[in-house]
Amino acid sequence: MTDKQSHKRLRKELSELQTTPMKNFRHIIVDERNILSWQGLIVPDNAPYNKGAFRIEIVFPSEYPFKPPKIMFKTKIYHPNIDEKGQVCLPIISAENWKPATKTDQVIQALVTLVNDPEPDHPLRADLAEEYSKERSKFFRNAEEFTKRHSEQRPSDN
Amino acid sequence: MESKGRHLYEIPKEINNIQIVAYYRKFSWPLKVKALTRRLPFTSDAGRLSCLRESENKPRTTVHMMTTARYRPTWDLALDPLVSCKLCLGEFPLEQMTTITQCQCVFCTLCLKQYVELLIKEGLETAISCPDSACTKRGHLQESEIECMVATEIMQKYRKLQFEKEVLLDPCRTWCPSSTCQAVCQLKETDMPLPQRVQCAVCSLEFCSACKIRWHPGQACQESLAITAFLSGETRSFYKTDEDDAPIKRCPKCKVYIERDEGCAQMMCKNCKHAFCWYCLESLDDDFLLIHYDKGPCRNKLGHSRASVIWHRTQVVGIFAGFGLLLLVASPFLLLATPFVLCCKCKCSKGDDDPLPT
Repeated sequence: MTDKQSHKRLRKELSELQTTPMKNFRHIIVDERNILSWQGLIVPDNAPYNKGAFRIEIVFPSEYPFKPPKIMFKTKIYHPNIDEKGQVCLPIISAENWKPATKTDQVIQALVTLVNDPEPDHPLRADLAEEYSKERSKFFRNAEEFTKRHSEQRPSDN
Repeated sequence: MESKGRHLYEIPKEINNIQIVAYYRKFSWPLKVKALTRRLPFTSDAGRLSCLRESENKPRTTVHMMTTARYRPTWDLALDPLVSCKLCLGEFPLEQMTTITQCQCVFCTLCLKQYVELLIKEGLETAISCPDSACTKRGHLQESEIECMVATEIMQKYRKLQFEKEVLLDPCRTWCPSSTCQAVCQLKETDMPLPQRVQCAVCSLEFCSACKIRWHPGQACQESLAITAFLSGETRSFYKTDEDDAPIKRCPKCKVYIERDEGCAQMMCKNCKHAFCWYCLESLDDDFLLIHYDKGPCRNKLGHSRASVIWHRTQVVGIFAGFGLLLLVASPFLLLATPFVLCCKCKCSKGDDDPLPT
């Protein structure tokens, strides 16, 4: 019962995202057999991440939307709020803050905002947060270098 | 206003692609009546209706009249609007929806029931809030609303959770710490929240009301032991180094374990809303101006800049001064009004005494 409901809502959200695509979230891939797992490319606007695109995976629980989705970065990224395993700390999808009426496009929007403007006050990687706060230019150089080396190609605008 | 309203209801010459914009006074969200098109005599893409809110001075019937004038009256917008649920994104007639009384947000009954039941089953929170983050009133579901919605056994669980919370926050009651017993024990009422010996009436275990370990007459509670007992080996020695810097402490009032990961030293317990200083655990409930951090061992340990503390104090003083000023301005009126109020009361009570109505 719950399973079917989560699938129904996800199908609706997916078709909405396909009819009105987001600027910063492209190439959404969903396996037909498992609608609970999405992949897509985050395309940030701000330096030093605006030279590449980053693949993320969104995993929805079977109790969705009553429980929040989980987001993992599949592409390595040099970011104070995203750790080496690709885990990201996004308050909007934390268990205590989650509200079922929040839609995936809002979650992705929050993620894009976080990628564009790191929050060094709530870091997952303290070393990068310190570098970001104290030696901004050095952080930018490192992050840009890292983006060039690891990120995926940005989709050509169409 | 008038002309704007009329403009909204103008009938386009082309039937293909009409857009009716109707405002509903009763509902505060955009009513989506996409599904209504199915019931219209003109199907396909002829009637794409998007209903917004009814403007306050616009009669509802306008939409009705306008459409019935041109098309067969097979549907009635006023009687059967479809409302979209923000949880499943489906559209339903109003009778399948539930409105949360406190905030007037509307969701389909099935979704709201699932939401409430899941929260109760997880057992984390007894205050069940509106499931929409965009809800400006941050409404909560009342107990009667929850009771109408969920199954009996879920409601029992909800009541149990509420009771547990009540006991946790009650200074005169505590849970027996024995895992096999878990009865509620009564404490002796005292002015000072000193640790006292409690004997469980069910399993006759004797324990300390503060640290919940076996009663230790004449000795202080060994709180650090209780905290580090959770941790193993290396972590334990790491946390034990300095009491002041321990990342886990217990709320001085309700004894719940609190981990401080960031922020300043003024702590508020999420459980019992008690405010205290993280370093010395002294109560800050009445210390609005945070004078505590001006002297003594916790001097300058608040973790905020001097400027922000001064700004905070200015705000607090400002609020009090504002209220004082308001009272001062209102006092002559209050004084003038007092005799009238008193007279009215006297008259009323006199009237009540009189058995015969005049």
